[in-house]
Amino acid sequence: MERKIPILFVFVLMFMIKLNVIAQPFNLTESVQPVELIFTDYKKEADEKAKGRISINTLTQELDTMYYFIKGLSMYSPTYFSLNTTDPDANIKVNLCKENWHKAHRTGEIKGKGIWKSNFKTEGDFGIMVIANKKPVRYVLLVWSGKEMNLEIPSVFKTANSSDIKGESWFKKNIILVVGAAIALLIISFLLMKLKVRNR
Amino acid sequence: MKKTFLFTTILLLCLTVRSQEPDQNEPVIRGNEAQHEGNEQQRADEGSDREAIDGAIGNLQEYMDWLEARRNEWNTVQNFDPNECSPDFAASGAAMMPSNCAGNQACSECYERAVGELNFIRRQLGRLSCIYSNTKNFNESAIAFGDNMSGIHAVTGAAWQSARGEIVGQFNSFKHTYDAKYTDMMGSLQRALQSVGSCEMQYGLPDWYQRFGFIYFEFMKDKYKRTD
Repeated sequence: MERKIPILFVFVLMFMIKLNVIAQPFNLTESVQPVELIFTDYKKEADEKAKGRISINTLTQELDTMYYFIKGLSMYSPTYFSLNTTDPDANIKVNLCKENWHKAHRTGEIKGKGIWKSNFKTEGDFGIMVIANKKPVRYVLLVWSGKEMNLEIPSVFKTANSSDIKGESWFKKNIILVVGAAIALLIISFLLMKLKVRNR
Repeated sequence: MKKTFLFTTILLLCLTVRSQEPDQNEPVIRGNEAQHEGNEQQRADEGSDREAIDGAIGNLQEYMDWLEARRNEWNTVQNFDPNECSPDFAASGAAMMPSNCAGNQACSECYERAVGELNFIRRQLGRLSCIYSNTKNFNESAIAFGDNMSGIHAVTGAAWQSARGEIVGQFNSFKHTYDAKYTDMMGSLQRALQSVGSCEMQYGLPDWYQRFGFIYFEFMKDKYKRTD
């Protein structure tokens, strides 16, 4: 078993690599060139819960809109996103997108010094669209993905009863029903025969 | 004297290099760092950057604490998109398998290992199925978006048709990948069920795989088979 599981991991990993062909919200506008945010391993000594991957980026935005994306997320892992700034004049709108940049699944606003955060689970990737209503603006963009959560999978087992253990056939298990049906059939046949004789 | 001087110099150099190695636990800060250099204003802003980073890490820590209390409650973390696929681990009553080992201390070691493997595969199959469903939705949405936008925007019909062909081609290749992974995982599922069967055999359920495991295997084969 110990051998099989790593092999399976490799299969899934290879599969994910194939999937990375399309790894950001779809767009047809050539001027939109999303920047990929990179995850690095994150752990803190004596703090098991922090274990995961993080991407923390200090950025200055001089354009109206900036596009970022991050990939390699698992649906079994929690994902945390935050954008914060210490600029008192900041006026930022954040859209988190998946299919394309026009459809935002989560949106937030920061006016002045502050933070906008969101947490969710998703598979693959998501896109981050940052609209600066006042430029330039400097902010910290953070994405953290934790280790996979404990997932309660319902059992597919039931306690075996005596017939399961003995391996009795359907006939044996339903003997009462079979005998009852046979008796009923005999009675019906007998009555039909009697009726036929009477009619003659 | 010269040797001592040389030794001290090398020792000092080594210590300097070691002290410059980054702490592996420190998050890597990426971005337009080039703008930091040679700019006095930005150097003055470094304090405010540090404050922003500390704020971000502090908020993350609060989230981690919240999450820690819910480590076993996967469903408390919301989907990014409410319509996003969530794996379905339900099995019909007919596919439930009788077990003599479930809850039996005597065969718990053998059984728990085999069931652990089975559950791992069920988890991965759930994920595989969701990846397929999400990718299919993504492609359909991209095609619908492109079809709509090509009429309005400067994107010419011909250019979009070529991009559309690429999307369709990639999805067809993805379907083959799904089928290959499905076959691999079905093999793993069968092996896991046979492992359960060998535990059951030792504790009073002979031919467990042939009598019960096989029905569940067929059920799973059907459940995760690509139908389109």
